[in-house]
Amino acid sequence: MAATDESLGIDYSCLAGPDGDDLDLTFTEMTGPSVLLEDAYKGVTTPEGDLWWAPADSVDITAQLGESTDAAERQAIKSRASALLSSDLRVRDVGVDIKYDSASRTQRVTITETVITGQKLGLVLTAGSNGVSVEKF
Amino acid sequence: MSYTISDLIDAIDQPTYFKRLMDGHQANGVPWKSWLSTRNIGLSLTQIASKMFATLSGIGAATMRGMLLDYSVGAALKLFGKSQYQIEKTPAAFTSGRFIMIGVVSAPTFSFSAGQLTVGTLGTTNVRTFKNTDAGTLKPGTVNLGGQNGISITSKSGGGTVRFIASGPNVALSVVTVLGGFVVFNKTDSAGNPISTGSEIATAINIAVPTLVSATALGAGSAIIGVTPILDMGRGALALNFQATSPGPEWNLPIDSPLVLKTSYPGVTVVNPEYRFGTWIVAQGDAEESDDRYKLRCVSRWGTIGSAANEDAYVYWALQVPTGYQSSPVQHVKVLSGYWLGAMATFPSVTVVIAGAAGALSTDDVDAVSNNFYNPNKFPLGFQFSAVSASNLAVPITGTTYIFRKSGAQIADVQAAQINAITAYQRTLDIGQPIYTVGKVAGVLETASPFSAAIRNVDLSGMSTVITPGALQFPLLNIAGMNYQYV
Repeated sequence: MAATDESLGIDYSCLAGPDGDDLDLTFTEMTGPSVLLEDAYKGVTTPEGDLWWAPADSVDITAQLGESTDAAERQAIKSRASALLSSDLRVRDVGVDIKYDSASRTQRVTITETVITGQKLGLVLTAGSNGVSVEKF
Repeated sequence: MSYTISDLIDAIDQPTYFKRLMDGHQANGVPWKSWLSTRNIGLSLTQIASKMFATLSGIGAATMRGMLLDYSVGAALKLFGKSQYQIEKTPAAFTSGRFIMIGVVSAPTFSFSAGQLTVGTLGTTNVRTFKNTDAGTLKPGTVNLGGQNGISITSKSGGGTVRFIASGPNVALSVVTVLGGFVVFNKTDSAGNPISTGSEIATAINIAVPTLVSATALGAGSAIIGVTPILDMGRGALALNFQATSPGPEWNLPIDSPLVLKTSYPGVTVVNPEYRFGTWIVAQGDAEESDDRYKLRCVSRWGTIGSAANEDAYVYWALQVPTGYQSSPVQHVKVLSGYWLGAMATFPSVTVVIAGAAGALSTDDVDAVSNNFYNPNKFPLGFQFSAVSASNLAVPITGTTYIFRKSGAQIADVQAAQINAITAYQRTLDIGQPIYTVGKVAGVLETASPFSAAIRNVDLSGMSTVITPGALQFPLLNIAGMNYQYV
């Protein structure tokens, strides 16, 4: 069955506004792969337990990443994020990569997903002292 | 839409609101079936909204309950009672009373300052501790009773025994020699309670047994000495007042409870035998007034504004904090109409029977509570009124507690836990309440926390199955006679 836009669900954007980090207060229905990208973003930036109706369905990996994070810790965070996102039935496979950029002193988290339709999606979170920035690709 | 009182006082919880909102989404065509993730914004907003509504509902219900005496609880009840009935909730009270320190013949003299000694129950869990509130000296050959205004008795031979007893109502003070020592028969009141002071007893002893001991009144000699077990003067004995380290009825221990000195002195042991009124306790400990008792006082106040006092009014005045008291010593009240001095009366009369959390009250407490009914009189013209304390009915609980050996539980810990359990059960008893030994007390002892799994069973089959106190008696349970056996 070919997946339609709505077959991946309907959501509202939380990466709206001039800075791309606000809730879309027009509540325009969002469909298609963007639903999955933003869902992944929420999944890895919401502290565990904040969603009390599904407390294990989120983890804030950006809060766990710091300059002193070593390779083993990064690997554990990658595994946790990968397991979390892989449990989504709309996703075929997930890749999570974390790299520390010593020049900019930031952690760069790259998330790639292959949707059940075969489409590939990507999200980059850059976590530094000024907060977290997001770009989709 | 009409509302019932339940709509106002029963809070709606979050899952209920969530379901209502989801039903609303369904009715309004919101595509909630396409919310395919638990992280969906629509789902999240619905969850958050339902939680906020539930919080508001809880605040609304608590506010409404707070304005209805029957449903009000906690802080809201305190505010409501104070604003609407001008009645304050009674705070918690500390247990205090007399312990006797006993030395050994070979021990040195110990001088204790106030606060220096800590006495506690046995075991390692739920230990109840007390600190001494007055100073005294424990010296072999000497018995000091009654504190700074009591009496000091020094044996001339360095040994011998002394005992203070109350042998019935209206007995005169006398001193009688017995084999190995002497006995002081306290002067008693009409209820049989000892009322002799230190100076009175010192004079009587020095006249009656001058060859055995020398007795000296301490300070003003005004302290009432009470009763004691047989005291060995050779070992020395010192009665000190102790106060619980925390407030609450759990510190109202039975007499002769197993106690140890937590601040250890070589050879010194501590006991809590009867002092007066069948107990070692001078001031009973109590928790903060319960919501139910506070409501009873609020409601019963209505009875005080009638043209003649009704039963509620008598209850209200009995529970009122007496002048000069921080809290009322009364926990139980029975209003007996047409009852006078222990019998049915042929003239208009009311007897109010009162008891504290640990049973009988002292004559001082009864007098203070009785004063609540006077100036002006709270009973009708032409009525005879009397406030009396319930008398304690000692109910020794005897039997065997069987403990699973493999549980690892220590007998002292189990015993301490059972004392706590029976003290808690004691709080629930009322004046004249029958005690079902096998049917109830055994269960209380078997489930003593945290040893309910370690206790196989408690066998009280040697006791009567029910013990029925008289109408003026308060049952006072004591498990000092229990046996403990591993199985």
